[in-house]
Order: sequence, then structure tokens, then C-alpha cells
Amino acid sequence: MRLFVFGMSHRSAPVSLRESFAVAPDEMPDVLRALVGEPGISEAMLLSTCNRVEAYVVPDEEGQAREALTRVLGTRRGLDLRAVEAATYASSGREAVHHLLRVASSLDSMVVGEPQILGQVKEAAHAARSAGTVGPLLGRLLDRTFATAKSVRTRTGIGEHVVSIGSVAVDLARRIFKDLEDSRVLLVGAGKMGEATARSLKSAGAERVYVANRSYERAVKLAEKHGWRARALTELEELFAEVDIVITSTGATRPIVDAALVRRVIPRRKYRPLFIVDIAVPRDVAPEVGDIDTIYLYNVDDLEGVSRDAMMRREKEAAAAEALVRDELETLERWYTELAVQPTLAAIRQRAQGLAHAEVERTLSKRLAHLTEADRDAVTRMTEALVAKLLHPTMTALRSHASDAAATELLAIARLLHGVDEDHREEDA
Amino acid sequence: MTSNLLTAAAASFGLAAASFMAWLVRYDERWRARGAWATFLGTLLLLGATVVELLVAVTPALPLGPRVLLLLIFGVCAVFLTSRLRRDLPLAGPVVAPLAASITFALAVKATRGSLPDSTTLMGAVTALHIGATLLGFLLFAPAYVFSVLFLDQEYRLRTKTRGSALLPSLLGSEQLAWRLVFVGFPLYSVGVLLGFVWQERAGPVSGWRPEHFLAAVSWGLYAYLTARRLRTGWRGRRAALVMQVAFVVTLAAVLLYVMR
Repeated sequence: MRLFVFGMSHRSAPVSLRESFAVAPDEMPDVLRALVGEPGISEAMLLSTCNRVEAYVVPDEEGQAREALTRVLGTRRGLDLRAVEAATYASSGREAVHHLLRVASSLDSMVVGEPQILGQVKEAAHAARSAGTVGPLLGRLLDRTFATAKSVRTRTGIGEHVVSIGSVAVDLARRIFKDLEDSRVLLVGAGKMGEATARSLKSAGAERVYVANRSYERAVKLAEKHGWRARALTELEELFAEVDIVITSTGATRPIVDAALVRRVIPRRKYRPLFIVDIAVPRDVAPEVGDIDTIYLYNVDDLEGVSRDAMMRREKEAAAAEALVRDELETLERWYTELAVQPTLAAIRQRAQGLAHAEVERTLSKRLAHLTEADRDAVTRMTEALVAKLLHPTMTALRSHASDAAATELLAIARLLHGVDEDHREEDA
Repeated sequence: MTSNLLTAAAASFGLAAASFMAWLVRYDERWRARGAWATFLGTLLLLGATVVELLVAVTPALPLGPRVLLLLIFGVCAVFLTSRLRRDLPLAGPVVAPLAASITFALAVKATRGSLPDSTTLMGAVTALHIGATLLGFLLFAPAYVFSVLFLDQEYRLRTKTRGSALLPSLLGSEQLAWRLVFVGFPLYSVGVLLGFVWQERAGPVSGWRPEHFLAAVSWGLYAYLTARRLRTGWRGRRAALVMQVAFVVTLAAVLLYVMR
């Protein structure tokens, strides 16, 4: 299958590296168009989440595609992806499709079974479709990917008792605070992951949730939706002095919270512990903040260790989900192989039906000219059905042997026996 | 011989305690390794003292009670060191070393000075109040110390992003309990220490200056600093918990010296 994936994820690279390559939503169309503008790449999709930055492309030639991806993704911020090659991964063909299916089915997620990733892949697909970089092959693969991910969620228990980032955050918050009843939560940024985490903390008993966002209107909208309170981002220092838990998930390209700000608020907080969950990539909180006494800073990578236990508990369900993904991979492979014989099948069908139609027309215009319109239709339909039935064994044989070693020879014989011209040989290739 | 070995062991454990404290402030693993080596050295010296005291010395320098304490603290250190070979318990060192330093120091002083004449009957009610209030304060500081250890354990796990334990109370929970106990224990301990100085002032030439008096003053100073800073600025966290630990082990040494006089 002509699919190539290249990227880095929480498995291969730390957040400090991933954040350098993250693609913001507003940059997405330009980067996608730049990718398909490269020679050797015909379709492209970019998936940039807090845990991964991956490019899925349909290449003409694998080596060329990798070179183009390194160039386009690396040069965006003046970075050399070759220098951090160990932190990246690439795969092609069956492996790449398998990876896409596993990612969308949440089998490759930091928190296995978490539901957000499917939405994120859908958003990435939507962005690529809007940018016009999805063609027939990637389009079909994505449709099947979504169907598989849905099937994994409904037919296995992988989504049950899911330990989301929200629930991990709740567990950690309970390790710091005696209970969450008196805790105040500040959500910085209106990202979906942040919103979900804040919802988890609120349902675990947090007294109040504040939302601060660069766009105040968006903060108000989100706050109204959940009964929270909107605050201006300019009040950040004030809010840090007030709250107990901070969740940051903005799309900022540089940290918006530094050690100096946190140090300033500590005496005002009377040294009360402050738990910060930074799920943004690039990170919103400078890493030095985590070294300050009474401040507990967790980024997306840190949350992985805490969720590892739950991941082990869901191993059984994950195995069932992996089996479903493998089944779908087989189906997709068959579809792709059949795709290669389609031009020959279409040509044989077209020729046979063409001949039949010509013969019927001749007969109907001479010997059977007296027939009514209804009778003429009946004869035409009968002829079409007869041709289809006669061709059925040939079509089935060609499809089922499409992946065999002798497939090329079989196609040549079929073309010869059915009198299909040589032009279709090129289309098959 | 015993007193020399115990003094060297106390110094070694003191060094280990300081190293472990430095590790808990900076989480620099090199300090933890230094602490473990110093504990190992202290345990060897403690072993030497135990052998001399129990097997070699014709006239033991320590009476029965302190000798049992010597065996006990040697056993604790030996268990700590052997358990390190099988399973790493990060917070064990910072707990064992200061306690060993405190107890070994008290034993070293005891071995050096021998038994003192009993002078507790000199002042009657004042002495009774002095002993009662000090011990009550100490009994409240002991669980505060335990909660501060639990706090440091939870803090270490959170700081190093390792898994939590269902048995551990929350960070804030253990910290609040520790502080409450200190808030109640400190006035009692203050009364005890104050009456002790009154008693010493009046007894004067009878008692003279002793290490336990100095340690009591230092521990009172540490608890006073903790309480004042907490009340004034709300100070707490890892560093405050470490000061609480130091204050307790100094108090422990003072109490042991007093009991073993």
C-alpha cells in the first residue's frame, strides 16, 4: 500500500523535542500544501497532538518522500530533523497503515483507550480535506480507519474504565490535597484536552473552575457551557495566587508561565501547594517551575508513568482491539490489491456489455421491432444479467488471485481471452 | 575505646544525615550516595563499638539499657544497608541516618561521662513539671516527625513522578497533622525547657552545663523558628519538613541524654 508515515511521538521523543516540531492549527494548511507541492508526494495529512507529530503521505517513491518531509517539517522553524533522527520514526506500506489504524484506535496512545485521539485524527483529516491534500487513496484509508476505530471502541472493552489524562490528574491532585472539595481549578486555554481534564476535576469535587484564554470571548463561551467562570489571561498572576490546580493547554509557541511568575506568587499563596498539569505541546510552563518547592509540575510525558498501571490492566482488551485492527488491515490490503486489477475487470465488463448491447440493439431494431417498450427493456435487462453471470467466474477468479505471484500472467490471459486491448496493461501497472 | 568508636560513628552518621538532607533539598543523587557510604562507615564503627562493649571490654562503658539501645540501632542500620542491596527505599536513608546520629551521639556522651549523680529530686514540683511538660512535648513531636517523614515520602514520589501508594496520606493531610502536633507540642516543650533552665539556674553549681541542655536549647530554637515562620508567612513544604526532622532528632538526643544520665 502506498502510504508513508514519518514523525515522533511520546514513545520516541520527549516533550521538549516534540514541541519544536508541533504544527499549530493555523499553520496546518500551508504545511500541507507545501508537502503536496514537493515532488513525489501526491496526498498528505498531518496529525499534531500533545503526544505526537506525524505526517501521513502517499508517496511516489519512499526515499523521496522522507527527504521532502524532513525538509518541509524541519525548515519551518529552522531545525534540522536529521540531527534528531533517533527521535523520529518512519514506516511505509502495510506497516504505515497498521500504525494509522493503531493510532486512531487509541492503541498507541499514552493512555491506551483514551477517546480524544479519534477526534484528533478526524480533525487532522478534516484539515487535510479542506486544504485539498486528501486524494482517493488516503481518503479511503481514512474512512476505513475511522470505521475500525469505532469498531474497536464498540466491540472491545478498551474504552471502559478509561484512565484519561483527566482521571490521572484527579489521582495526582488527591495525592497532594486531602480532598478536592475546597480546591480551585484554573484552566488556561480552551483546548479540548484541557476542558476534559477540568471537567474531571470538577466532577471529582473541585469547588470552582476558572477559564482564562487569549480570546476572552472563547473563555466566556466555554465557561458558560459548563457553569465555570471566565477570567482574562492578563490576570494570570492573580489567578496563580488564588487557585490550587492549574491546567494549561494553550496553543502558544513559547511558555506563558515562567519560574519568576511562580516565585512571585508563592508568598502570596502562603506556600500552599500548587499542582500544575501542562498538557500543551509546545509546553506552556517553563520546566524550571517544577524545581520550585511546593510546586508540582506534570507535563504530558510525566502523566504516562502514572497511567502505566491502568494500561497494564487493559492489556486483555487491547489484545482484542489489536486483533480487530489486524483484520481490518487484511481487508484493506485485499482492497488495495484488488485496486490493481480493477482496470482490467472494468475493461472486460465494458467490452462484454458493449458487445451485448450492440447485438440486442440490432435484433430489437430488425426482427423484434414489434415489441413494446416494456418488452424491449426486459430483453435488455436479461442480456445484461446474462453477461454479468457469464463473467462472474472470471471476475471472482481475478479478484481472489490478485495478490498471487501469478496474478500478472492471469490478467494477461484474461485480457487475451476477452479481447481487451493492450492499453489496459499500463493502467494495471 | 567504646566512647571513641561511638563518637566517630556519631560523626559519620551526622555526615550521612547532612548528605541525605542535601539530597532531599536538591534531589542530586550524588548526595544520596554519599549519605549511604557515610551510613555504611557509621555502621562499621557501630559494629566495632558493639563488639568491644559486648565481647571485649572487661568493664563495659555502658549500662544495660544503653547497651540494648546500641544493639538496636546497630540492627536498624544493618537492616537498612542489607535491604538497600535488594530493594531501593529512597526515604529510608534520610530516616535512619539522623536517628542513628542522634542515638549514637547520646550513647557516645554516656560512654564518655559515665553516670551522673541523681539531682532530679532537688526542686520537687518544678522538676516534675519540667520533666512532664518536656516529655509531653516530645511525645507530640514524635508523631509530627512520623507525619513529616510521610510527607517527604509523598513529596518525593510526586517530585520524581513515581507511582503513589494507597497507604500514604495526601501531602497536605500529613503536613497539616504534623503542624498541628507541633503547634500543640511546642508550648508544652517551651514550658518544659524554660522550667529546665529555671531549675538549672537555681541548682547552678550542682548540675553545671551539659550537652542535653545545649541540645534542648537548639531543638527549642528550631521549633521556635518553625512555628514563628509558619505563623508569620505560612511557610511549609519540603524545606520546612526537613527542619522539622532535624528539630526532632536533636530533641531525641537531648531526651535520651536526660533519660540516660
